[in-house]
Amino acid sequence: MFRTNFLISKHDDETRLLVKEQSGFPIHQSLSILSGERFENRFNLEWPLPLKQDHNANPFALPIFILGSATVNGTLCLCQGLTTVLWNPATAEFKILPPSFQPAENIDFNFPSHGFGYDRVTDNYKVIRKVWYPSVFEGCDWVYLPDKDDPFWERDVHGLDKNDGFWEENELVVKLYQPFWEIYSLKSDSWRKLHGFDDMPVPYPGITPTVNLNGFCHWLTQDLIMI
Amino acid sequence: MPLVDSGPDNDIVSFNFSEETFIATTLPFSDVKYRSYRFNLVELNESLSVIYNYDMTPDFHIWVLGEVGIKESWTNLFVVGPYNCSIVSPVTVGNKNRVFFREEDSYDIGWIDLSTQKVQEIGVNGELVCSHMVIFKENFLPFPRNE
Repeated sequence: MFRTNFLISKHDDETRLLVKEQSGFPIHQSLSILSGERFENRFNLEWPLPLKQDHNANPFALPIFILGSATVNGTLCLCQGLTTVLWNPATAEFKILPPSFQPAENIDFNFPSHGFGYDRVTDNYKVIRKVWYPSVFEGCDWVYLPDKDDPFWERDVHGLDKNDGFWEENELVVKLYQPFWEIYSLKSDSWRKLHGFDDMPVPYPGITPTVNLNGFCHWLTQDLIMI
Repeated sequence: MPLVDSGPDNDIVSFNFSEETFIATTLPFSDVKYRSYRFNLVELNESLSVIYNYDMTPDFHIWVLGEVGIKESWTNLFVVGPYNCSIVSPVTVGNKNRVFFREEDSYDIGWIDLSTQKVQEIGVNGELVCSHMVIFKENFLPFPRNE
């Protein structure tokens, strides 16, 4: 009975698919929209300007990922390397997201965004991601060097670092932080930290993209280990 | 791709973009986690579902989640198939009775209509990781802005 009720009696035949296909190395990646009852009509799309595939300028383009399982109000969230772009193919409007909220400056994060969705309460697009230092940074503290016009440099620093406590006493050691989640809001055009959810696991990489649905995004976690 | 459950009850994590909270949901079945199957989260007719197939056979088991975070709200919908195609894995995209899948050997993308049980292919090669497919709905409104 549930099965009968669950299935809807008719398709609306306007369902269209947006497909990214990638081939070769250096990679070639294309974007098309498939329509028709059997998705037999194909319409090729250009990538948005920030992600243009110029093979002469850069033959080794990074792969582009589409976040989620469906457009959100006609909008897509695309990631290429550390660049995240919101893009509405129908209007060609796009927005490049600013860099991450970072406790320590000048350190790039090596993971793309994880989820994209719409907040209907405030009429806003949002993107979430979990950030952590690249693995080469793990397991030690890093010394922060002040800017060149900082009074620090006028001091006689010879021999000072023989004092074990010197770097800590002068607050020059950057503690590595724990991984955390951050959220981007289009209306504020900035990222901020999401408190209290540091342990929430990320999507299983590569295999199971997130599902966006009704103001949520859903994913299978890494706690399911493939063997 | 057999799966083994190693963690707490957060097989599925959901993020609510209005409340900015995460919600964890446990999968409806613990017994099958240790068996060989292909497995994915799929939107099916506006509901979140889990679709998998056991032992590399061309059929699908479908569970539908009633309420995010509530393990008891899973409904075992049905088993469909077997279908006349090579071993398949469901892909994240489902829509209007359709379940899309990727054939194991050719990577070709096809879909099953759950109301008619028909299998069709679309002319797309879904080589793992390299291709991606989303449901596309056009919208000509500009991005939301501050008033």
